[in-house]
Amino acid sequence: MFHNVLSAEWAKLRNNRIVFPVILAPTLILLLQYANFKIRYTSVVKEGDVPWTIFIEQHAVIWAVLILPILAAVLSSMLIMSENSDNNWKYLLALPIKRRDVYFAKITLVIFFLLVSSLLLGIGILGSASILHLPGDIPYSQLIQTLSAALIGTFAVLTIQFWLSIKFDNPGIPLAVSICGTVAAIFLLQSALTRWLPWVYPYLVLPIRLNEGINITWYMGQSMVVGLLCLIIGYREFAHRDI
Amino acid sequence: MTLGRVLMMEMMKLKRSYVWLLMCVAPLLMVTFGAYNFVRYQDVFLQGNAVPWEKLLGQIVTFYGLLLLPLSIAVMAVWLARIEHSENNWKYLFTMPVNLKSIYITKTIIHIGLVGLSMVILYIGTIGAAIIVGVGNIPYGTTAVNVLICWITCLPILALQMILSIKFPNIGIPIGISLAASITSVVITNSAYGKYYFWSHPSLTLIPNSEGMRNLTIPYSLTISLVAFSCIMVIGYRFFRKHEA
Repeated sequence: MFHNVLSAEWAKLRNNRIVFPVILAPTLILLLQYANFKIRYTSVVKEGDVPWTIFIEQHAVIWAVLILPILAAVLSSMLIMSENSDNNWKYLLALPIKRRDVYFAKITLVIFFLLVSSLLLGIGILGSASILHLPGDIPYSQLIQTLSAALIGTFAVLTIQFWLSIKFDNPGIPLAVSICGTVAAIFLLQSALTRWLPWVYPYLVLPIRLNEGINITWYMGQSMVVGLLCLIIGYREFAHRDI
Repeated sequence: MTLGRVLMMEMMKLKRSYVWLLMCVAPLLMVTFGAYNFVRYQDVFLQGNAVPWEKLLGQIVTFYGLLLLPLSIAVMAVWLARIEHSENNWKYLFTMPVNLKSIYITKTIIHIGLVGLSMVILYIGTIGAAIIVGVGNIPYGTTAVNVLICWITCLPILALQMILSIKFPNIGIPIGISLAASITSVVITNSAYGKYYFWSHPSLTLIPNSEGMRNLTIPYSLTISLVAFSCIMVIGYRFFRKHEA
C-alpha cells in the first residue's frame, strides 16, 4: 500500500517544477566555489594545506549552514502545498488509504530529493575539481562522509519544517521560520549556550577542522533523536486532526 | 472601485494572517543576536581606536542586510501572492469590478509598507540596543537617513520578487532565485562590483561608513534603485494585464 501511495505522490510531481530547486541549489554553490578557487586560489589554500580538504570544507560549510535547511523547507512546502490548495486533503483522505502512508510517503520523497541534490553536489565537486586541476588524490571517503553528515544534521530541521508545512495552510509561515532560523544559526553556532537549537546541527556535524573539539557523533545523535521526535509528534497531530 | 477601497480590501485579507509578525521578528532577532555577540566579544572588537557604535551596528546589520532582509522580502511576496493562488482566487478577483492595475499596485504598496515596518523596527531596535549596551555617542540622524535609503534600495528586489511570486504558483522558483541572489551577494558585496548588484545595496547602505558605502553615494543608489523599480513595475504591470488566471 505504501508503495502505491508513494508512486501516486511521485505522479503528482510531474508538472510541479520540483527539479528547479533541487538542481539550482548545488549548481549555485558549485559556481560560487569554482569562482572562489579560480580567482583567490593562493589566499584560500595556504602553505601546507591539502587543497582537496579545503575544497570540500568550503563547499560543505555554505551547503550545510545556509542551503540545505532552506532547501528542506522549500521542498516540504512544495510537496504539501498541492494538497493545501483547493482543499485536496479531503479528497485524498476519502480514498481507502491510511493517513500514515500519505504522511510518510511525502516525507520519504522530500528526503529522496535532498539525497539527489547532495549527490549532484558530490558529482559537481568532482567535476569542478578536475576542471580546476586540483592536485592530489581524490578523497572519496571524506567527500561522502561530509555530504552524508550534512544530511544527517539536517534531519531535525527537515522534520520540523515538514510538521509546520502540514500544520499551516499558508507556506509563508514555515518559510519564515526557516529563513529566520537559518540566518540566526550563523550567530547561534558561535555560542555553546544555543547549540541545542536544531538549525545549528547541520554545521556542528560536519567533519571539518573548524569543528575540532566538538563531539560530532553526539550532535548526529541529537539531530536524529530530535528529528524522530518531531516526526512522531507531527504525525500524531496530523493523524488526529479534523480536516 | 477606487484604489483606496482596493487597498482596504487587501488589508482586510491580511488581518488574520501573521505576515506582519515576520517583519517584526526578523529585525528583532538580528538586533538581539548582534548585540549579544557584540557584548560577548567586546574586547576583540574594541581594539585600537574602533568606534563602539560602528562595531555594534556592523554586528547587527551585516547578516540582516545580506541575507535575512532579501529572503524575508521574498517570503513576504510569496505570502501575499499565495492568498490568491490558493483556491484559485484570481478568477473570483477578476470577475469583480476591480481594475487589474489597482490589485497589482495595492499588493506592491502593502509589500513596501511591510518592509518599511521592519525598517522602523530595525531602527528602534538598534537604538534601543545601543542605549542598553552603552556605546556612547549615537548618531540618530545619520542612522535614520541610512535606514530610509535602505528601504528605497529594497524596492527593485521587492518588485522583482512580486512578479516572480505572481507568475509562478510554485514557491520553489521565487524562493530559490532569492536564495541564489542573496548568497551570491555575500561574495559580490565584498568585491568592487557591489554597486552594480541590487542585492548588495541594502547591506552597503546600512553598514557604517568606514566599512561600507564604498563608491556608493546616496544620489547614485537612490537614482538607480528608483529607475530599476519603475522599469520592473512597468514590466510587471504589462505582464499582469495578460496574466491568465
